Amino acid sequence: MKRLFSRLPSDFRIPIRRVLVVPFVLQICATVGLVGYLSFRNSQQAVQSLTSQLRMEVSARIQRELQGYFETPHEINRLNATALIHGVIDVSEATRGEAQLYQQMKIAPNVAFVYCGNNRGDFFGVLRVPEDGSLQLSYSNVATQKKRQYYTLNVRGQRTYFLHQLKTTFDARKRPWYQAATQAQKPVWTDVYIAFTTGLPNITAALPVYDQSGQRLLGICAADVVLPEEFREFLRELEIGKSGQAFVIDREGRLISSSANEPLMLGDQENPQFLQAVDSQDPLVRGTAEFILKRFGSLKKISRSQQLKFNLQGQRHFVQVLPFRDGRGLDWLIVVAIPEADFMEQVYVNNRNTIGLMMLALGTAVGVGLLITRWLTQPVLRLTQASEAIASGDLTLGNSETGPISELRTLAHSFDSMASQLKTSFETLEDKVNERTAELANASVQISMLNEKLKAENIRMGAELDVVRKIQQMILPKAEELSQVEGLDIVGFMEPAAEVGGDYYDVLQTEGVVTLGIGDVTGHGLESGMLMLMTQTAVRTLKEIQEHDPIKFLEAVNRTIYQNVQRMDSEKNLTLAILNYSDGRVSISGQHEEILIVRVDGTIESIDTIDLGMPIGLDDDITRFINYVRVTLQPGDGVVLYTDGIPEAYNVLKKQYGMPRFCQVISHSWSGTAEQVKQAIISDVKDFIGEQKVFDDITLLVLKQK
Amino acid sequence: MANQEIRGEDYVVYYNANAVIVTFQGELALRSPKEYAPIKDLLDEVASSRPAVMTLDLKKLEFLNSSGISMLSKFVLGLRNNQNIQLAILGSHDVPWQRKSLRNLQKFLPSLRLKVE
Repeated sequence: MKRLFSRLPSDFRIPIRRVLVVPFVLQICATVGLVGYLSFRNSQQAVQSLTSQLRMEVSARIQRELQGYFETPHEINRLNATALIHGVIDVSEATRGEAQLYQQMKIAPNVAFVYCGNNRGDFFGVLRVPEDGSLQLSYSNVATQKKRQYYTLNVRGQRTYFLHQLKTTFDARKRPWYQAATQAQKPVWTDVYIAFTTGLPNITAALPVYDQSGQRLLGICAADVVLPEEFREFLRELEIGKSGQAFVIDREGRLISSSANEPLMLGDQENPQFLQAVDSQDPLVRGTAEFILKRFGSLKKISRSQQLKFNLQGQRHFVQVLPFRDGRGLDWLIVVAIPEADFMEQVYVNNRNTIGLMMLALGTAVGVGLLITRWLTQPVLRLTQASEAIASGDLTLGNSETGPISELRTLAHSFDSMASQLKTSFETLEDKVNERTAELANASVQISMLNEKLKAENIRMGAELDVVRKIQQMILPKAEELSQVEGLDIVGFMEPAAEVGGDYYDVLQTEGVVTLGIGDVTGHGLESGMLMLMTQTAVRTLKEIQEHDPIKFLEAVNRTIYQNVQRMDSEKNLTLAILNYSDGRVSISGQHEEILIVRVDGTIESIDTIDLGMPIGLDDDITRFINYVRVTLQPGDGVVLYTDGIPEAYNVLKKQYGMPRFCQVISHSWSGTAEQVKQAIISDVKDFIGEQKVFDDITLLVLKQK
Repeated sequence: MANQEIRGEDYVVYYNANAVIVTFQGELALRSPKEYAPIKDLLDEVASSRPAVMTLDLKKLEFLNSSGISMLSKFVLGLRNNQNIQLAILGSHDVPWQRKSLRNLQKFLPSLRLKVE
């Protein structure tokens, strides 16, 4: 089965209804058909054996009947022969004997005539009148001038009245029965001949009667049997199926007797002829005779009983042929023919019934099958539809109706709960999505609001930074100022970062003292810018009042800035270094980056300023932390001041520019003017930074002793 | 006061309550004093619980910008008025900013135990 289905193409589909109904119907068809066929076969065999038995039975009955029929006349003859010898029957005088014959006629109704003829041609007998069946005595002898006379008989068999006398003379010795018996010298049958009295075909049993010595023929005793009529009655009364026929033929093919209803004698009274079986009006008799002739060639060849079958007009017929001999000259064939249809008719009726029943069963089976299928498939179909609906997104279905089948019911229940779960989860999902969408929308609004704020802030800060940048640039010493400084070659450089920091430098000259300041305010923006501006002012003020004590100088700046920072409530502070130059001597104070003293040959002395001060604006009193160092400059020597924007500049690789590289550039370029040194440093720093955004202000101050 | 942790993109500040140690790690370069406020609050909070010894471990703080140094300086200055707390700072010679800035802290608070390795 599995292999059968596996051979089908993968897209082969068959509805469940057909799957259930087709095997149902096929089984019932097969069963009913087989049973019908077997019962038909059985019936056929039963019919065959039945007809075979029936034919044997019938033919045996016919044989017995024929034997009885043709034995009785001979027995009568023997009685009469004895009576003739002893003179009980007086043939020559016709005085006595009719009573015995009368009794015999009464006993044997088949016999038409019982009589004897003597060797002088006299005749004596009792006959049955064909018209009314009454018995009459008939005799002829010398006294009647050889003319036959007829007398009535009473119930005791005694002659009563003379009836009539025939005109023609009668000589018994010339009759065929007399001659046949005489010739044979034993009991014989005559051929069938036309009876003298009745004109009907007769057959006569004849017995020659001899005297005591057995030498002299006394006469012949004989009994007539009007064969066809008597025997046909018997044949007709046989029940040979519905339309079966039985007939008796002699070896020449003449019909001796037949159950068929037709005259067996042809021609007129003068020249009567027997009907040949092959010329019978009855189709069954004729057909059977033709078949037998064809089968055996000649009827004389049949010596044993035969059971045969043949087809006549498309119908099967069963035939029994039974030879009949009595040893006294009768040599006939008993033929019984039965159409199969007589028996098969019932079988056919049964068959029709069977077929009818089969159709009924089939119809019922299909109907029941369809109902069951419907019953089974309806819920399945509903489930299928529901699942299709769910697949297409429709979850409104539910309560799938099912029959009482528990599995289907369970399936439907699980299906419904599945659908409702799906529905619920879809709904909650939708709710969640809505919620999230709302949240997102809210967040988006907030973000855009924030964005707006930031934009505004940016604009504000941008404006602020612009102001700071301007202040920073405005307050720086001009290039002319620097060039007017006596004895020193000075250049300054400041590049603010994107977010302006708080870098500061200044160069101030009064009365031969040059004061240089460099500082770096923490952080960026406006506050840093302001702090830088204040620092510049404080430094300039102290310079103007000629405060030359570096400790007092820085202490005053710190206090000024500290107070202002406190007022501003700011977190800012700054580093600040102050250098005073006069006649080749430099004093350095204040905490800042390392200060580089560059000698004429390019060697660098780095001065740590950590212990020269403290951050400005962080503490109210830094006096005790302030100190100063002195350095002497020879011509060609100089100082490089800078903010952390240079050594802490980052490149894209997050590496710092660093002091070593800074010092190397200074050493290499030191032979040039201050401007050239500055250029070399700035271009090297910019090369290093590359594409990286600049985070901090870059401030550089280079001075060189002339 | 329980353990606390402040974590940024490049740094971690972790307070161990049992040992009263605030550990700084990574690079601290916040843009303004405002952004340093959470760290400053943490330090002030620790100080306000009046521990006998408070330690700042800066050995693994690779970088601290000027705003950060300013914040740290102010915290140390604040402790000058609170002689009951012994402040200890652990530093490293290998970190450039610590070489100069930690000495400033020592100046602000002479009682500070500065241990630079």
